[in-house]
Amino acid sequence: MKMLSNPIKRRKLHIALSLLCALGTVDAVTGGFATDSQAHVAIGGIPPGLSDDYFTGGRMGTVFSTTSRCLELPAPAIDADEKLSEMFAKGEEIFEADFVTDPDAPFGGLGPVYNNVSCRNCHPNYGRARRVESFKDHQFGNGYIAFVHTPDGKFVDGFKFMLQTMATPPYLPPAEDIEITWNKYVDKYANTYPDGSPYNEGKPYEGTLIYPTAKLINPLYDDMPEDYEVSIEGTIGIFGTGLLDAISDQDIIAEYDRQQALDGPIKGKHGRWITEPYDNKKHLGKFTTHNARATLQNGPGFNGSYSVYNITRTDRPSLFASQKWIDKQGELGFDTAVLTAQQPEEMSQTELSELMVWTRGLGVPAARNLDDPIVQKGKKLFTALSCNQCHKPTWTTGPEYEYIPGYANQKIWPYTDLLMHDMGKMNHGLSKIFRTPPLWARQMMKNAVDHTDMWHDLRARDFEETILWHFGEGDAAREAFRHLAKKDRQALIKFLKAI
Amino acid sequence: MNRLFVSLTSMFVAASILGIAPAQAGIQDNVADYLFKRNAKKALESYTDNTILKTIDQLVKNIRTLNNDAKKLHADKNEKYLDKTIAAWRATVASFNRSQIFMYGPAAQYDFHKQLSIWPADKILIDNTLDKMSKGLLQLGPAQLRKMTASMRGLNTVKYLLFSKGLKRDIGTIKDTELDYLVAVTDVLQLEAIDFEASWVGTNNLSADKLEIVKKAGLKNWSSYAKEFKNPGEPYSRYLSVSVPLQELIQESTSVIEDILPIIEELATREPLGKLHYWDRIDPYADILNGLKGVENSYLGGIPGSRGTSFSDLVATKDAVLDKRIKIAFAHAQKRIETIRSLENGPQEKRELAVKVAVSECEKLLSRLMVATPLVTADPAVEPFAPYGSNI
Repeated sequence: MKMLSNPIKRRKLHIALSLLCALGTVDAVTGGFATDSQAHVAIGGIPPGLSDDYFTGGRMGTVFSTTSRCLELPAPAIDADEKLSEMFAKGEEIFEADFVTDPDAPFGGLGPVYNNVSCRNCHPNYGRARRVESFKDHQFGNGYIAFVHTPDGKFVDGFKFMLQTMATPPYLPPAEDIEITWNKYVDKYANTYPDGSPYNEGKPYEGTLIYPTAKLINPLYDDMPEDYEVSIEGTIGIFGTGLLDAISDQDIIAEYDRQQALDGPIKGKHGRWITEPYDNKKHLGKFTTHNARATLQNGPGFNGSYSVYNITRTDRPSLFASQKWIDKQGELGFDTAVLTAQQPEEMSQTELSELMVWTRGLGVPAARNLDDPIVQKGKKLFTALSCNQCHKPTWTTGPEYEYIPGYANQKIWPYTDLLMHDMGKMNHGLSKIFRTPPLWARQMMKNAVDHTDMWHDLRARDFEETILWHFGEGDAAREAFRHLAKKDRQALIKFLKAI
Repeated sequence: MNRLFVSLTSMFVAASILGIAPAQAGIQDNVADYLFKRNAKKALESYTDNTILKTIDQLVKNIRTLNNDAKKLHADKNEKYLDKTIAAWRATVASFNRSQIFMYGPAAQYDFHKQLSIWPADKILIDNTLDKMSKGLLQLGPAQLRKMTASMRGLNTVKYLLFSKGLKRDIGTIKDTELDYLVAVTDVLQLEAIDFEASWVGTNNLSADKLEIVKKAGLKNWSSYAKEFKNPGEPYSRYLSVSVPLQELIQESTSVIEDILPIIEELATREPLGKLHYWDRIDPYADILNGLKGVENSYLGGIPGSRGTSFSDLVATKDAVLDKRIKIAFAHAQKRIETIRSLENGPQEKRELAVKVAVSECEKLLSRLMVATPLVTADPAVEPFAPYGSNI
């Protein structure tokens, strides 16, 4: 992949106060202060006296910023290492890039079949996807991945796990587009709380809940199974992913064992054991919405940088396309020799390494306002309602993490058990079993991405709706939330906004 | 003097030293804090109104001129209108480059920088679309183009249609379908630019003609980001204290300078005109200078002729010498870029040396800004830690 200096790229400088904390440096450069700035408290990036739970990503993985750039800052563990910092900056350039079909252009090699042109389009401003009405029209921020599958969750022949809706001429994609319909949902309580107040009281969408359904537009194949379905899932933010990677499999299994011993419905399922090609060892599935990937070295970013664009490389030398799709191109009279041949190296292993340092190295924004009395009350309710049984507040990362050594032995606060739970038939898409997503820095999506959309298919428009979509193993927590007094519901949500 | 008097006098003196004098100092500190915060808020207002909104206004004006000139060229293909369209494109690129200092907030959230000037343009997809148009298989309008891959539109696509190998295209080689495409691209650009403006000023504050355009296109209804930015701490603002938007301001400024550095370095080995690849810049000197001008406008609180209280003023209250040094660094950096331009056809060794000097000047500017930053953004008066709780 040819890389030139991108005129619109952003090499984020971690100007957050942490880089600028030395008054001594100021003095040395300027020859001393002309005024009274030394009368104020010592400058520091981290407010003094914070408790551990403010450091959501641990001491080496937390950034203190609430600007619109807060999700894109390198963790202190990156800042502390010159080589990692350089690689982080180069990796970010790939994330920000827009891939093009021209193989001789910078970031060339897109296609011949693909589903987007930039990582950033699906992870707007480094955050999670934005809910959209149309799949292709507004590519910026639409982070939906579409799955074409049978009711039992098997992918329909001819479709890879991510639906590809774009192709380099003259080839045609497996489907032209998908149509998303937003449907109203009314629960058995007519969308009201026991105290008589409606869900989403006072909001423009008071008393409503919505969920999406999707269908293919112009599928390429004429032998589609009659009962095929299309499900959509939104991307999540990337920050903190390296810290989750640094949690040991043994610790996740210990949490799994703990849950199996619990009375009640909460019985998380762990991901399958996956033998990774890079070390030939078994690792526990813990990444993606369904824990389908075990480690970042063979995980979402590592694979997505190939599969989303069909940017081939030495460890991924074939096209990301189904044989049925290739055969269909032949039937349509297009040259398939180029599709089946070994593909050129369009991204080098060095570039891949840089991208992975960046993927792992994004810091987690610190928690905010944890000492506020209402937040404290919400924290107690979080435990009282057993939210913490699945949204496990803390982990300590393993004793070693070879990719970013500073991530070892960090006490982090992601609020996830990294296990999967049955969320009930109202959440059934590709499956109804979902990984508990991390809750850290959710409120920062509003600052960084200008939305509060959540849930696996972004049906929840804010925190309140997110809780109200908990069914299955989460049903008891939903009911408990419904029965809280209004001010207690608000306190719980304020806590969620703070972490 | 009796002992009581002595004691009372001593106590008074002690109280004066230990209590009242510090209390007076405390009052002075409070006043200084109040004044600094008030000035910081004024600086935010001036920066928003005089730098951001005026630069966007200029960007929109230039894009609308580009759109009009492209339409004239489309209606009457001649050298004069081609020149006018190219001039309008250059002016638009200049204002876009000056706008890079506020590509946070709405721009970062909705990728307006890519909507306006995605890089590089996808030559193969553009050529394929042109081919379909020339065969009568496709009639391209702005609504349709806006749904297509973003790298098929924007300022770099306009450049691809107007230039060949870095030089203005021969008017005779420009096909009618290319002019159809050009008009569609500039129509979309106009829409995106007005949408960008709406994100800052609020849709309801757009002029009537712009409002009609966004309503016709069915664009999102924006509240005013400028209002949030200028009023940190208010319930409707995502900025919880004055420090946070100031951090945003300086973070982006330093980022732009960082981005400029490798572009300057490329000037040492730049291919001469006529050997450019299509993704290269037509005038890298102008691109760099406009980027620096944008940073300077940000620091000085407005575009030339419309400047108010500024980040510079805030720095000056803390360290007047540093503020002067920053201003000098701005001037030196821009002068050094002009020096490289003057050596466009000069000896390679001199050119390489001039590039090194220019890089050094920009690094000096960057380091001075970084030194100045905490003096302003970390001052307790602007509440740098407010987002983490009032008890901290």
